[in-house]
Amino acid sequence: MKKRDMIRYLRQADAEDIAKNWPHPDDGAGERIYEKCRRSVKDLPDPAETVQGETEIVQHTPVWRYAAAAAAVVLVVGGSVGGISLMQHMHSMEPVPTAEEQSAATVGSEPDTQAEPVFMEGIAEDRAATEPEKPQKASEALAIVEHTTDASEPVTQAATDASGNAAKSTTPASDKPANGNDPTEAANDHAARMDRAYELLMQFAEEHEHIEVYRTAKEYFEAKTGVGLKDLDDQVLVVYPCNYEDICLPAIEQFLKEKGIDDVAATYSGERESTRQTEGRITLAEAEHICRESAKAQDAAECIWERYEADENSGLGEVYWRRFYVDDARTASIVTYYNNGMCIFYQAPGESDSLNPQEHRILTAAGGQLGSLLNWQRLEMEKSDSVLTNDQKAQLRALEQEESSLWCIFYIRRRLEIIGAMSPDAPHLTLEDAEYLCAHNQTPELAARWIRELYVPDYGWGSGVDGYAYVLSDHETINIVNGSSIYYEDTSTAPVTHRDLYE
Amino acid sequence: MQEDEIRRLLTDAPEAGCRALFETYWAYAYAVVCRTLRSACGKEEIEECTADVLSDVMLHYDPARSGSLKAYIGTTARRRAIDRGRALSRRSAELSLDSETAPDIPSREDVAAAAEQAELSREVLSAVKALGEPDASIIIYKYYYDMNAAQIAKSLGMNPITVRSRCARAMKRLRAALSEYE
Repeated sequence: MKKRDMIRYLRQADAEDIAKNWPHPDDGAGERIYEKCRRSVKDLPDPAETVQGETEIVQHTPVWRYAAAAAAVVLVVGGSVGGISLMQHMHSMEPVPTAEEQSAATVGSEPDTQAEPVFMEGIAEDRAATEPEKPQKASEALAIVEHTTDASEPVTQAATDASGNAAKSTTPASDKPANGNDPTEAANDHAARMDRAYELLMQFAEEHEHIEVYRTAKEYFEAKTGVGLKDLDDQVLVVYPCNYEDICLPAIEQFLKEKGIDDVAATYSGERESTRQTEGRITLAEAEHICRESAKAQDAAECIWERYEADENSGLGEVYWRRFYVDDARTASIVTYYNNGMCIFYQAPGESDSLNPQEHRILTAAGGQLGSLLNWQRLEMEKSDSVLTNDQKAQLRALEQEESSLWCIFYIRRRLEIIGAMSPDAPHLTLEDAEYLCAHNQTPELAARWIRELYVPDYGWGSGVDGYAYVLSDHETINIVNGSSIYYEDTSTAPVTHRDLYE
Repeated sequence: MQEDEIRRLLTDAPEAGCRALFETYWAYAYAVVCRTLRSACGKEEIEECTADVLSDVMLHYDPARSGSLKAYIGTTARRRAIDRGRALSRRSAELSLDSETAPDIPSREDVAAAAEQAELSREVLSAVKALGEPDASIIIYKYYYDMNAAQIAKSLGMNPITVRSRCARAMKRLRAALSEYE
């Protein structure tokens, strides 16, 4: 093996193995990391402060770690409140799971808000009090920037006046005060024009139904103000459409040129490729927006899927796995808990009519399925390890390092295949669910596609592999969808494979 | 500390649980972040990202209903690292995370290649372990954590020149050990 290859493989070694055997030599990294955490949350105690708590840990732990842990308590408690709230509505719509389902679907289970500890009370308020107030408009954001950056720093002004004529330049802000030499007025004038430019872009987006423009506007204003635009306006959409590069950017460029904002147009043009490479994620707010705007849950899901499939360059959003990468920090738990990105199981508070109970149940079942499989295969691993052959063990070890890649269904399937079974307790799409989907979709193809999407994890029966043959989980039936028809076969008589049906 | 114990602590005594979580997993989170970001940024960014990861985990992980804590941290770390990498690439424009992240997210067509690569990575790591200490640590610190000879020497209490020479010899031994993969 060449040295270059050795290094390459070494750099891709399993992080867990590395951390276990060769943790990073702590040249103060732990302290620094803790300090960085402290900067995120004002209430974190000083590292020098000791924390009253478990004496057992106190005896073996550096002081700074106590403070880190205490800070983490605040984070955990506050985060739990925030994270749980997102799923509470779903929880209220959930059918009561059986004991088996609960045990089998730990990962995909619903939050138990009743079990929330009493000490969590008031934490959310504390957190809210410590968080900086979010600016609501570009002018406010800019005002923040003006206070935190050098006033003489060049600022690209991309704005138009009320008549739509351009007023653009790249000039030190202090060189072009709006009125005399008053820097405050200059800043205000700058901010007003930023607002105007932003409004124009929003207007353009609405008129042309180019929600992509929102994103471009977001990027632009983020770059110029240094403040995340999602903090400015929750309605800003950051989605990655399939036609973004072909349609959206040229349209924006044309629009900006018409408005005389040539430099921004040129910037867009130059950033096309890099933008295409680096974008593609959606925030929770954006996903919510799509859900709210969609008449049906599957419409929303398909919309998000469609947009997300384009993000292939980065390896995220890969089509087959249907993995969502939602970059809002709050959503990490959702993605992990529910289905690792196969679908969005989210319903905004007050939007209960966007999903009816049946649809909701179907989605939830599909989401819990993967979680159950993960849980199950983990248990099976522990139980069956002693009876596996060496080859099987080797294969499983090879897959073990991918454990953190929860979204990677392939590895789960491989595990199941190696073990030779799948979870009998895993919740599946039932015949009733499938029939419902068929009855509520205009074409069999659409129904089949929808069922297929929901049923991807059911690879244990050999289905879901080739992309169009599916065995549903109802134990009385084998339901096979081959793109346009759904076949039901009674499994009590004889096992039927889709090969049999095709031949 | 075992994961179950940490989960129990997070439920029964969150303060102690968070302490245990931090102590047990910060090195793991660092390794995951480092794996993704080392070629894209420096140590400060990696530490910053690791701090974000741990904060996220502490914020969002619910021991009552979550799956594997380790997997959760790994997933969060990877996503945070990619997030950070993207932000960096947006600024620098020349950075591509593809080469770093691609092995983690194999496509349907690349599954076989990805599995083979994972196998090779495991073999190389196994061969590194077989080198024994301190050579194994030198190799890992140098090529995984991207530390220079001076930093490694400081960590291991050795002379930087010794680190370099041992590293060179270790690489030769490693190559010999992996000759079957020529």
